[in-house]
Amino acid sequence: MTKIKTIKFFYIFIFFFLVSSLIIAENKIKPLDVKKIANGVYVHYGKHENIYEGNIGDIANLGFIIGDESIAVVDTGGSFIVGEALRLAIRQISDKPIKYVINTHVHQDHIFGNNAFVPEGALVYGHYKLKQAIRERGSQYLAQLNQIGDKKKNTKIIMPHKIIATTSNDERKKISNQIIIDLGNRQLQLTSYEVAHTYADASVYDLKTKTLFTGDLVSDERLPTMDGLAKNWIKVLNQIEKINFDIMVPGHGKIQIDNTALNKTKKYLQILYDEVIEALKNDIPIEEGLKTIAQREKNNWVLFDRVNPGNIVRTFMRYEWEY
Amino acid sequence: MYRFLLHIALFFFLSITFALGVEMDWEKAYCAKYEECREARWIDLKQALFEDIDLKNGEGVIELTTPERAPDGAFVPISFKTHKLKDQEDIISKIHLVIDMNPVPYSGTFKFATDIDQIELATRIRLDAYSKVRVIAETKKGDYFMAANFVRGSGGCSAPPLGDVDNMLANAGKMKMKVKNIGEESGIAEAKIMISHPQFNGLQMNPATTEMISAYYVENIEVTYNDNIVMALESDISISQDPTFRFNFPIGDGGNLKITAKDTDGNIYSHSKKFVLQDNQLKIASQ
Repeated sequence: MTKIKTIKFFYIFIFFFLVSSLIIAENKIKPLDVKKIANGVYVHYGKHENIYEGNIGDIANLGFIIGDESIAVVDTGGSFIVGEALRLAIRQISDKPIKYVINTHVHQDHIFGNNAFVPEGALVYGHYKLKQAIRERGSQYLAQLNQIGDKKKNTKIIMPHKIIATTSNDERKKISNQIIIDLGNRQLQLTSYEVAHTYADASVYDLKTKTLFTGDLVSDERLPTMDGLAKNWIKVLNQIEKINFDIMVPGHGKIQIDNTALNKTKKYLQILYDEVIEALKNDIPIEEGLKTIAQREKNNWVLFDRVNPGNIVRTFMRYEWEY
Repeated sequence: MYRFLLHIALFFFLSITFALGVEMDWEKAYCAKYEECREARWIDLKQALFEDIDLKNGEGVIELTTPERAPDGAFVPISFKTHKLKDQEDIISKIHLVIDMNPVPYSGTFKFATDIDQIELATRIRLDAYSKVRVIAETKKGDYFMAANFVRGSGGCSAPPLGDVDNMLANAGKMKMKVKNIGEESGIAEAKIMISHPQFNGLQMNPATTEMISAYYVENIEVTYNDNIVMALESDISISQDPTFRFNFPIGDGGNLKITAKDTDGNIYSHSKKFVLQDNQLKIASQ
């Protein structure tokens, strides 16, 4: 009798011990895999998937740049956990203070890890319209984050502290859409663009290694999401292709040494725009348009069938009244 | 030894169930993901909206076309068409639109020209979560025929307005219409009407103030042709921004096509165009 009781207690004890250690092991955040792409410049490659609990929002390319005195992070991932994992990866390489976080645009896979860096004293930089864009979208993105369930915990909306633009003293007039930040013997040029991929896109250019982070203005492999204005986006890409970079880090996909990914992005956008306008001119209904528009680009991209329909609809709606 | 192995086996079984249980808990909160949960909602809805009415299978009466996956939750193109009823003395008098998982599931009542064999309509709706979209044709004699499609998609109801809000408000009520002839002697033409309206549904946030924007949408649309209704809609918050409709109507001998729309602020907007019949085709009348 006592023997059975002892076994029972033993069993219950072991059970809780193992279960709790399982839960703890599960919740322990592991540093992200990062790759050194230039002197002091590191990138983490996101997966080409939609956000779900399996990837906890780790779907975009994230990066960081280490100067003599401080570190700047470029995009922070789609949840607090991804941001924290990026922070841990940085800490394995350097213990300099992380002073800057730059969000290249409003999409959730780029901004939701901000909260991992702000307590350490990092200031968040974004396009001069990023704040407005986050106000507009934030609550919807948080609701969508329910897709990753419990793993969304600690994910918060962090508004940018600083805008990427130079303004007059009374802040009423925008003088330039560029600013320079200094990490100590290393200057980064941050640029805000006109409406393109979204209404608030920015890029980061490391003057030292000529590394250019384009955010989702350029996409490699994964089909770009059109959330701004297709025609303007092409214009912005025409500006970016003139930048003298050695390495380009697109928002998704592999790093580039030339304009291949940029041209691929531009080609898709041109086809999307041209075919939507063609459909509008010929009175082709949106349902028909969804079946044909940009279909010839299908084999060039990952997630084409998930992303292209939304791109068509949003482009269609934006230009519909003009035809 | 045997008993020990049994304990080990039992332990693994229990831990797995426990772990799964933890996993399952939060998922249950997102009802729309679960078929049984969605079905339960429809049972309640059906009772609330149609009580004990028998909703017959719509096959051969009404056809609904939707994408399997919403291209964008805020703009889901849907279309339906009807066929002649078996009972030749009966006609379809109304078509109800229901989107089960939207905050306001009952989304609208359509009416069409009574002297048309086949009703066809296309529009865009908001979809808040994975949901069945249903169209229910009600006949004059009191029969109901339903067609339903399942559509994956989400976020349509809280999606921010597409474009500049001030611009949208300034343009509210602007309209556009186009008419396309169908065939040589069909006696039918297709009208496309567009109403510029922000269609705020009360679930969106104002970009400038972070306050919720109060509902402001078109609730009544009537399109008449020579004063006879060819399409009318009483709707709620599920119709997308800038409501757009494509439908067919009998062209007769030409005449005046007129849109009248009323929004929740009581604004009444109208727009009309005169058409003449030339070689069995409708042409815009020269003023």
